[in-house]
Amino acid sequence: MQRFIRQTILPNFGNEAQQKLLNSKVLVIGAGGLGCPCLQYLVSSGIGEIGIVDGDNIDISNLQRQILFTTNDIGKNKAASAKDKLNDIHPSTKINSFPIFIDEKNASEIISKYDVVVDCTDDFKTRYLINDVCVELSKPLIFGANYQFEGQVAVFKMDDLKINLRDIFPTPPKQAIRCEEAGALGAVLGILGSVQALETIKLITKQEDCLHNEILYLNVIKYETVKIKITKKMPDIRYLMSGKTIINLNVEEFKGKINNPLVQLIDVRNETELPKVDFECIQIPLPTLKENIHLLNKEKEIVLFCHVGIRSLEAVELLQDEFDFQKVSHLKGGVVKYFSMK
Amino acid sequence: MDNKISIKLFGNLSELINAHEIVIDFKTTFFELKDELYLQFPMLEKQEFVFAINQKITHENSIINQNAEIALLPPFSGG
Repeated sequence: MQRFIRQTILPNFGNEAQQKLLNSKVLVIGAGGLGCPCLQYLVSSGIGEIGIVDGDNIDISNLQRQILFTTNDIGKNKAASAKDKLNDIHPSTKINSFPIFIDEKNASEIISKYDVVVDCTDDFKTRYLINDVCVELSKPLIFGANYQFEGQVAVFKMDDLKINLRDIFPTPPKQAIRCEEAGALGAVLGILGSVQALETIKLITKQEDCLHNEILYLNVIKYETVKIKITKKMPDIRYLMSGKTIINLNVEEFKGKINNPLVQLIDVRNETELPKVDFECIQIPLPTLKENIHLLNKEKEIVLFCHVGIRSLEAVELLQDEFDFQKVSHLKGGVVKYFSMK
Repeated sequence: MDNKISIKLFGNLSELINAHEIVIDFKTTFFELKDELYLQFPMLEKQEFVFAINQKITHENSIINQNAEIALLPPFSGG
């Protein structure tokens, strides 16, 4: 244990924490600007097993920030090359490299073999896939992301409420600016990747204070930080294999949508059905929804309801799949549930 | 600052407005304040971000205290 003596003498650490690191398996997805520093600190801290997933090859423009790689590595796969470098840092850490991109087909299988997942990727589609699989498999997720001289790090422990990325931004943001356009500085990514590594170590060694269900915003120009609590936004989200999601609202949440100028409430029952509702809405029976699609305002959040929540669920899928609506949800349990709660 | 409240901006939002902090007329509820923000900074309406009020991400309407710390948090994806 001579190798780790400087950290085991730390308060609240000791051999016990070191043993926890040795017994843990961490998956780092993305061996880029965040992944490189994060991996170095994880390996040197004595984590027992580390998986690295990255299908990308090293490009000359990566070298100013992806500090595991050198000029001689240009053209090599990032995961494989990272593994070679990391083996030298601490040969006892078992390193598995996956020279592939994570996708819908391989995500569950790869993630299921690890205890903690660190998201060091750089696009929302992949980030949401990782998030959703971690929710499904209850795997703690350490999220990190960069924008110019700012960054975000969040820890989702995936315990009881399974608070996750979708509780901040329910659907993948559209305006994502990638580092190709926004620019990125290695030293900034180094800070963020190190924070991700640190939070991973804190989580594994069960340190009392970590960014649990919080997101840290960090501006390294002004050294301004805000630490924001994340609460459950949508307690009930069904994740479909297609990557789409169905948002089920409970009655309390549904009430928040009534008389909300940003929301269009749609009753998909037939005109003759009872009970009549006591709030303003538009009635478009489900069989006529397609032909009346022009009545819906895509700029607004669409909230659908029916008698017990079956037709409204069908309507959500129709709007998402065929008409590409982004902000759609429905009342789980329908008006029956709504009136039973009054 | 009589009847004013300041709002911190992050990421591309501060670039868009060219300020890390903006000051708008104070409103007593979150939704009214949101309307006021979009009235004064209409370019924000098309942007993607969440509101944090007193270090808590807020989606539903609530009463706002004039001392409240408000921040607009856009998503980041770079890595």
